[in-house]
This record gives sequence, C-alpha cells and structure tokens, in this order.
Amino acid sequence: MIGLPRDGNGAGVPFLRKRFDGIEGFDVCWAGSHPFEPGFCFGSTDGRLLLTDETGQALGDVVKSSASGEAINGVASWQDWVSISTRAEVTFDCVGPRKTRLMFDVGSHGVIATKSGYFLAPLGPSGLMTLKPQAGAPNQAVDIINPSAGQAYFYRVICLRAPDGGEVLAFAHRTSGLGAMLFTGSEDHPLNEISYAGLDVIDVCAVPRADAPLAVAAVGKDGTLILSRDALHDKHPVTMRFEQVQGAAYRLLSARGHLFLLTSQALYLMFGLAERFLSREPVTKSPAPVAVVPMEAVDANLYQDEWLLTVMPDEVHAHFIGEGRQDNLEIVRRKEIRSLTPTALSHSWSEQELHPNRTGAGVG
Amino acid sequence: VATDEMHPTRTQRSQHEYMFTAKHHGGGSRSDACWSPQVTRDGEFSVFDLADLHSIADDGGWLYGVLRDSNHGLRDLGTWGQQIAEFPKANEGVPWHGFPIWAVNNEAPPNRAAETLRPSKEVFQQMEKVGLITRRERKRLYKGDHA
Repeated sequence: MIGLPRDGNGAGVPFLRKRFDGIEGFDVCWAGSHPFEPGFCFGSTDGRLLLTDETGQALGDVVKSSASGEAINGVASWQDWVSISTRAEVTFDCVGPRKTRLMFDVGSHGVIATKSGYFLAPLGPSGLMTLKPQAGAPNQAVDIINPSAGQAYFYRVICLRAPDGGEVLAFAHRTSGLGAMLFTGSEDHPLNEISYAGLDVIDVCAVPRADAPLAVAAVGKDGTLILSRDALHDKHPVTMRFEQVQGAAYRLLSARGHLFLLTSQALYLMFGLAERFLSREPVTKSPAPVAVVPMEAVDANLYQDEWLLTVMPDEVHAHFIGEGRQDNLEIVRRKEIRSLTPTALSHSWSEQELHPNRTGAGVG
Repeated sequence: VATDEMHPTRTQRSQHEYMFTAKHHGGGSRSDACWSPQVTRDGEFSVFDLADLHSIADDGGWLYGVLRDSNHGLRDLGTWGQQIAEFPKANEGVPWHGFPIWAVNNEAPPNRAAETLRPSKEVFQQMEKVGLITRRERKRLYKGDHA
C-alpha cells in the first residue's frame, strides 16, 4: 500500500511502496497520477491500468486499456478525457456523459495534455501527434506535425506556459538535440533545434520560475545536464556533468527547484540546482549537494510535485520530496548527501530552424 | 570487414559456426543494421554463444543475445543504440550470422524502428529467466527504451 499523508512533511510516512501481488500477471512498468482525482495510476507491460486512491486502495477493477496489449508508457488527462499511449497505439476516452473512444494506430513514446486542451504524443520519427478531442464525435482527425523525414525524432515533449498565456513546447530529440516551438494548436510555427556532436537528449523537464517561465532542464543519455532559461530562444544553454553520475540516464524530473536524475544505476537528487541556476549562480563552478540513492528503477514520475514515484522491478515506491529540509527526507537521511563538483562542458552548439509540415490522419 | 569472416571457434553448446558478415559491419546499405565498432569480434561471438548456450530462441528458432559491460549494464551492440542482437536460424551446415536489432534510437531508418522487429515477449522472458537481463532491463527494452 502506498498511503500518502495529505500533510506530509517528511517526518510522517516519507517512503512508501505499492505492490501488485494480488493482481495476476500485473507487471508494472509505469506510474503516475490518477487522471481525474487524487490518487495513482499504474500501467502494466500487457497494457492494463490500475487506478487507486492515495492510500493505494484500488478504485474499481484493473482495466485493459491497450487493445494490442502493449506496455503502457503514458497516461494524460484533460477535463473528461484520458489518453493512454503505448508503442502500438494512442487511445482517447471520454468518460463524461457523451462517452467516446478514439484510437490511433501509431506507436508513441508517451502522451501529455496541455492546459489548452490538446493531447500531444511524440511519435519518434513520425512526428508529433496533436488532438483536441470533441466529445460525441466518433471520427476525428489528428494532426501530425513533422519536419522532413529524418530531421527530428520526437522522443519526449513538455508544455511550458509563456507570460502571455501562450504555450511553448520543448522536446527531447535524441541525437538531434533539444527542440522548442511555439504552439497555438492549428497554426504552424518553426521548430528550433540545438545540438552538438555526440549529444543524445533523452528527457526534458520544465524548471519554470516567474522570471523564467520557459526555463527547462534536459539530460543526455550519458548524464550530461543542459540548463536553459528560455527553451525557445537560448541557443547556448549551460551544459555540465557530474562525473560521479553513473549509468545510462532514464529520466530527469524537477520540483521545487530541485532536479531528480534517474539512471540505470541510481537516483540522483540534486538539491536546489535548478533554483540556483535560475538565480544566476555559477552552478558549473561550485559544488552542489547531491544525494545518491542506488536503485534499479524502470521509470519515474512526479505526483503533485510532492512525491517522486519510482517504478521498481516489482513495485512502485513513493518518496516524499515536498516542503522541508532536504536532509530530513527519509530517502536522503538514509544516505549521505555528497558535495559534488560539476564539470562545465564547452561545446560548439549548432542550431537549425525547421519548418514542420502538418498532415491529418483519421482517428476513430 | 570488407568480406565475410569466420570466427575461429564454435559455440560451446551446439557447435554452431559463426560468420561476421560484411553486410552488418559497414559493407551493406545505410538501412542495414550494423554492429558497433566498439564491439570486438570476440564480443560479438560471445553474444551468439550465450544466446545458443541458453537457447534464447523464438518460435522460428532464431536466437537472441545481449552483452553486459563491466558496470553490470547492457552494452550498445549496434550503431543505432541496439542492445539486443538477432541471429536468424541457419540451415544445416551453413554458418550463423547476426545483427543488432532492438531497441533503436533516432539514427535508425523508420523501417528499422517498427515494433514488428521487436523480439517476442517470450524471448525477453527467457533472457530474464536465465539472468542475461534483469527484470528492470526486460521492462525497459520491451517498451522500446534503452536499458
């Protein structure tokens, strides 16, 4: 059982776990927020979903959510809609009065929802799928945004809010680097891409602050950190690496000015690194407090910016990362916080402006 | 390699012969999967040898293997980041050969990224059962992510 304290401060129940022993064959591979209410959502390698409340109690039966039985790799929601992605399809379900199911038979690396009501799914070399679904319409069209074949690989996408309320998308484009574009739904905008030889960007996360709403952090497969105050305009972001970071990078997440880097060997909690970067402190030159927690996690996600969910081989762990002193966190108290000195990396960034094409495809 | 070359030894279990094919070592077209230059000949053969030793096979008898590094991680076998290699079943008396197949990064042509090229679920389960990959690695690779 997970069982999260509503007012947790790190001293209550700061580390919890959820097992799935009672559900036959439920091989968990993804964890995140319940799409519609406080609680959790767990995905399995055979395409099933389990929804629970915050105590870990199941809310209804396990549901087969992937028609193909593929592993769940993303769940996102907007109003009455929930979208579920796998490497074989992306589905959209309206659970409101006008129940609707739409399915798009293209594999995705995940799915997110924007505040403006669009679902976005990165389809690898096939581009970025966008859909603003309409309840009750059985057949709808998705847009696929993509530059010329092979110019960009859509691996991860996040949505940032500009000061004027507009939306900006930032992308992890693997060896094509870090991408960003203005997003207004149906209009086309250039896709700005920056990279350097040898870079392989596998994740990107928002690190916004009032004075830097488009700030992002990204990570290369080798653990290289990329910090940018403005994903849309910054062509030479700060690039650094902690030599002590071991393993292949899997995820980079951010909450409360911290960065959480999950690799194949450990979880690295980099306290205040994003906040210090945004405060224009010389983060590449000064030691940083980093907690190293060895683990073999499959994936990670945030829950309400207060809990870090790590998908372990047989269970899901929740680590409290909310308010409180960093050394009061249970996940940290059991480990030593090290003072790690980063290495500033100096690369010759290249940039290109791509002009994506937009094609429509039926979904129903 | 400019031409096909035989490995000097046979696999320890089935006594299969193994050939390093030029096609999968840079001598083919851009769409041909290639072994990474970082993987030595002995390393490539060991992937095949372990696949044969543990009989990591699909329904058609094709073998599948991986290569661990000194840090207990999985090595990239191919130039597109592949960490699993496939060895099509050879006819009797014909040397086996193989190539990295899964999972690929963005360097691969789109037709090499399709889920249809992924080994069967049972292959992943066999690999985990004999300890070639961990449970964590099985889940990530099956999803198409690097391990």
